[in-house]
Formats: sequence, C-alpha cells, structure tokens
Amino acid sequence: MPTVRNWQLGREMSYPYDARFPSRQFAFVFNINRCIACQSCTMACKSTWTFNKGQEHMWWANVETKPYGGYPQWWDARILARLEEANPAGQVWGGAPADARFGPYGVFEGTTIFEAAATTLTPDSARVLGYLPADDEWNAPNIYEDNPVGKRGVRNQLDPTGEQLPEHKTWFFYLARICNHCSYPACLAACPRKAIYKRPEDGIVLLDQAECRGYRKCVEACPYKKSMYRGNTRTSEKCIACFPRVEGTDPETGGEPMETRCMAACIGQIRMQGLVQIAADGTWAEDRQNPLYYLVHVAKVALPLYPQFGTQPNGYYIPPRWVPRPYLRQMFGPGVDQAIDSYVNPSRELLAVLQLFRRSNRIIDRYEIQEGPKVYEGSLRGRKVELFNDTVIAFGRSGREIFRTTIEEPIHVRTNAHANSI
Amino acid sequence: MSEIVWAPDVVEESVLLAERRLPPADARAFRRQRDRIYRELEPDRREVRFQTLHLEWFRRLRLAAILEQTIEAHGAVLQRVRGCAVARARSNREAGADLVDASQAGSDTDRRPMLLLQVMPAALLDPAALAGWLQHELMHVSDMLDPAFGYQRTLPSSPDDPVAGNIVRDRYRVLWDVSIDGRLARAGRDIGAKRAVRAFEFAATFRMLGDRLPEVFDDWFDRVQPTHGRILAVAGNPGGRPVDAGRCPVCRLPTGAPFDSAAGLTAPVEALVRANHPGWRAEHGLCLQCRDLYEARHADFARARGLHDAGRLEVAAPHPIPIE
Repeated sequence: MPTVRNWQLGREMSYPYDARFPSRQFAFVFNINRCIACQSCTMACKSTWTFNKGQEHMWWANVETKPYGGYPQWWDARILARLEEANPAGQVWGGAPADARFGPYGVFEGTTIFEAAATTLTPDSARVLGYLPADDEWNAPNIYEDNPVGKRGVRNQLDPTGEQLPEHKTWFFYLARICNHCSYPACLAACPRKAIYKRPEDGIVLLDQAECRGYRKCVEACPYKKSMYRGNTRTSEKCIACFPRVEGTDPETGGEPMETRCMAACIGQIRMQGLVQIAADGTWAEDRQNPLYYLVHVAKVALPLYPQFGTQPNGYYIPPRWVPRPYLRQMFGPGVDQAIDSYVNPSRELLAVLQLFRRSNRIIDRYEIQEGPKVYEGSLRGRKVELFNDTVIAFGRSGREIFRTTIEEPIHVRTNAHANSI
Repeated sequence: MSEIVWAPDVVEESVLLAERRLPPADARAFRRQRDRIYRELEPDRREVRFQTLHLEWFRRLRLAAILEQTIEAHGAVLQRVRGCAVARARSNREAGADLVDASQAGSDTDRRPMLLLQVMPAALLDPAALAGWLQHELMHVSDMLDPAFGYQRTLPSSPDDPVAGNIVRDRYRVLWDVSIDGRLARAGRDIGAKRAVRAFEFAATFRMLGDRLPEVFDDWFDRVQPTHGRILAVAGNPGGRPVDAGRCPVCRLPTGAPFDSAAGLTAPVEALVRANHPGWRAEHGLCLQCRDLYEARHADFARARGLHDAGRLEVAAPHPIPIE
C-alpha cells in the first residue's frame, strides 16, 4: 500500500492510493460554542438535496447532541471501538506539538482505519476498517437530543454545581456535521468501482452516480458515516458541498464563490466555509490573511474532527469550552487545551476574525483589520482584558470587498414610523 | 396455506447483507450479474430485473429456510390462515407477527386471515435467534386464532382517560409475553435466558404488587393457562383494588386510586384550591396530581413574593389569596 503524509497526524501513513492534492481545498470551521441545534442547516440541506423518494433517511447535514446522540446512532463510538480492538491501548498521541503546518498536534502513534484494515481484515476487503450501520441506526437522526451526562450511577438528578466552569459536570453539546471532504477519503479508498473522486480544483469529494453500483463499501468505510445508500436507485449518495455555489455559478453572486446552503442558513452564526490553498506537500500553504488558515494554523482554535481516523478531514471545530477535556481530546486530538485557552482569552486578532462568521454568503478569501479605539479594560479570571473596537474587512476571490464589520455590535435605532412592529 | 410472500425489500437487503459472508468467487458472481442490471435504463424493467436477481440469490443462499421451517412446524396455525406475508421491519420494535383480516385483504371466498410477519432483514442471517423469536411470535398468533383464548383486538378504553388505555395495553403485553415464554418452557423448548428477562419486565410493570410480585410472576410463568379475559382482568386492575374510585372533585378526571383526603395541605394551598373551585372543601379530597399542582403553584407565588420583598424582583405576580 502506498504511503502518504498526513499533516494532522504528524506522520506518514498507508493509504490505498498515491497522494494527489487539489490546488484549493473545500474546508470549514464550526464554532460549537455557538450552536443551538436549531437544525436550520439540516433542513436547508434536506430541502435542497435529499427530499426525493428513497432519500427519506438521508441527512447529509445533521446536528446531533453529544455524547449520546449520533446519526447513524453510535457512529463514533462504534468505529472508535473497532480501532481499539485492532490496536488495544495503542490509540495515543506522542511527540510534541510543532509550531509548523506539519504535525501541529504532535504525532499520532496509534492505528488509522487504513492501517487497521491491513492487520484485522481479510485481504479481499482490506482497504478500510469500518462497519455497515443497520436500518434502525439511521432511523432517528436527532435521538437523545439535549440528554446531558450526569453523575455516574445517579439517575434523574442534576449535580447542584454541574454547570460551573471550567468543566461542567453535567454537560452535553451540539455537534453539527457534514461530509468532511477528506484529503484521504475512506469512501474513495473503499469503492471497488472507483466511482468516488476528489475534484482537483476544490477538493470536493463526489460520487459518480453513473459509475456507482451500490456495493455500499463507501457506507461501510466512511468513519463519519456520511455516505448513504439509496434503496430505490440502488446507488450510494453523499454531500456534494453544494458545488455549484462554491464554483460561483449561482447568479446571486455574479461569479464569486458562495458558501453552501447549510452554511448560509446558520442562524447561530457558528459556520464559516472557505477554499484554502494547498501546498505541494499536501499541507495548507501559508496564507496568513485567510480566516480559515488563521483559525486553524495561527490561532489554533479550530481542530479536526477525530483526526486519528486518518482521513485528514477538512472540517474543523472550535471545541466547546464547558466539556470535560478527556472527551474533547478523544474527539479533537491533543490540541484541545490550547484551543480552548485561546478561545476563552482571545487575542485582538482572533476577536476580530470571529466577527467574520456569517456576515455574508460569499466565501471570504482574505481579511484585513483596521485598528479602532479601546472601548473596555478590565480583568477576567485573573487576566487583564482589553477590548478594541477594531474593524474587520472581508475580501472575496476577486479582491473586492465583501463586507466590513466591527467588534462592537452596531446599535440600530428603529425610527418611530413603525414603533409597535416587531 | 399457500406459499410465503416475501416483500422485495426484505429479500434484497438480506441478500446484500449475506453477500458479505460469501466466498469471494460467489460474491463476484453475484456482483457481475447485479452490475449488468444497471445497463438497463428503463426504470420499471430495471426494477423487475433487480427483484428477480435478488430473489434468485435469496433462494440460493437459503435465507428463507429457517422461517419457512418454523412456520411449517406450526401446523395448527397454518390451517387457520389463508397465507403468510413477510414485510420489512425498520427496527426491533416494529418486528412481530400479526393477523390481517380477510376483509382487509379483499378476499370474497376465503375468510381466513393472513399471517403478517415483520422482520428486520438482518435477522434472517441469524438462524438461531430467528427461530427463537418466531416460535414466540407464532404463539401469539396461535392464541389469537384459538377460540378458547377469546382474543379481541380492541382493548376497553375510557374516552376520559386515554392514558389508562396505554397502561392497560402495556400490562397486557407483558402478561401475555410472560405466559407465552412460560408455556414454551413448559413444553420443553429452549428459551435461553428469557425467564430472567421476563421477570425484569414484569417487575418493572407490576411494581404495585409489592411483596407479592415474585409469587404472581411464578404463577403466570409456570402455571397459568391464559385467556384474553384473564389477562385483561389483571392488566386492568393488578392490585385488586376498587375498580372505580370516581372522579376527582377538582379536575373532574377519573382516578383509579382513592382520593387523597387533603390532610396535610397547608392553609394557603387549601385557599388557593378554593380560589379556583369555590365549592370545594378539604373533606372532598383531591387527586394526587391536583395536590401536586396546587402545592407547586403556591410555592411559585411564595418564591416570587420572597424575591419581591428582598428587592430582587420588580413585580411579583399577584397571589389570588393573601399570604401571611
């Protein structure tokens, strides 16, 4: 099996195909701290792409309540368990976080789903370690909504101090998910028909319906379970990253790349999507003023989802600050502590970049900050806090300004023409 | 009984799941045949070809064998049904056996019902578990067809109290399951660890029996020859208490338990009930739900008043009665 470089794991790993990298990569950052599970993203996707016969069980975009919820049910616990069986007590991170684009979280010393397949599966299906969810596991996309973790062994009783930071004892959080359009997709690796491909221009992973023969190997292989089988066409389908919008062919933007439906519908303003530049070695090329690059590689507040699976997912999450760290380290890797520390004590630049979320439907290519006056000074948790009313300006692919916004939310006063209207 | 009718989606899904266990050569042969069907572009013809292929492999892999053998072993059931259809269950909760009335099936000549089995396709790949599940489900059907059992599809319900109907149905189900597994065990069938499972369900459902619980369970598992009427009598009134204690004088809903005498209600709570129901007196009593409700309402008012007095709440909701 060929060897490829996985920058999230900080090491080389085996993968069924040689590495090929797109010039730009579809990527996104979700700020879990802001998600309220309104399911607007879920319904935006459903009403756009999966409303037809045979797609009833399909939710390409979904929001699940962690730790108990999951679509399909228990997807992450099941694949983690299979990896643990394949490599007992060996799924650990080592090394030291590097201040570089390769290995920023240290080195993963465990086994990826591709490596585990080689040691645990029979040769015929040895490409990816996975499992095929049963019918009933797809039935309830929002199962266990708002079910918190309580004190172990105590039922129907909340901890009286369960909601105190830095880590809540009674907790849950919402995990919004779409296909991660991985750099080393497990679905692509597993397809016996080579019906799945990664586009060279934006790294979006697509499934060719004319080539698919419904083997369901992609459904079995994808560790995030974002490939789904459609019974009436007998082919599998997956998130297409709303590629016509990303290509800029939607007339609304006049050729400018536009964010996906699920991003645009996010009323909690948790989502930002972009196209990041990829270097020849597969790492993110230095692009200091790109907001995603800044969040992932400079501020290091956004982390990949289950990087240990080895697919190098392109979805990144700002971890929820109230959740016990061991759970988050399992989900997002060892960068969690630094990410939360950066998020709860944001730098002047991070605070500005966080204002870019959901001010526009267009993909932000770069940003600039114009310094503003100091508007607050105080202390928080023993640290000095200064707040500046900076202005952050977003530019699109064409170089034109998309919008500008300030740290302090503008105050709008309604005229008395409609005093009693809402 | 005529041949078992299999729903195409059960056949297809079970074949696709079984494919994963096939020797590589067989799997390749199946896929070669299946892949060729995608060249057929006309949707209806393509669908027929898929169904034909899957049925052919379904037979070849003998996925129907256990189900057919188990049903054939229940000759008494077979004689009383017109046919058997197998449909897909999407979850274990949906899985089960039922009878469909002949009138619903549209037959003029044969008034016997149809046997409908809902199974999860994956269950067909686990013959031992399937056989055990089937013999239990077919006992249900056998009871439903037995005139001595006297099965009636609709359980008595009260238009005033829909919850009571759900409770009775749950208890009915548990009692029936216990008696079926008990009879299977007595007949020497292997039911595995089902006794313990049923005992757990029984204890959860009939907690009101208290110390008598193990004795009543053993009776139902080891001795009782159930009838619909007998199950219903216990399900409707497990503790043998007075059947109808009347309606609560406050909420007017029927209650299965005698009214609380209202003893122990504080004066403000009593006054609060009277403010809403001027004719009510403490000696009339009230049901437990009403008692909880008014105590909670009073606590809310009192808390708001306390916050108001402490200067932490601008406006306290006016209490309908004065609080000292």
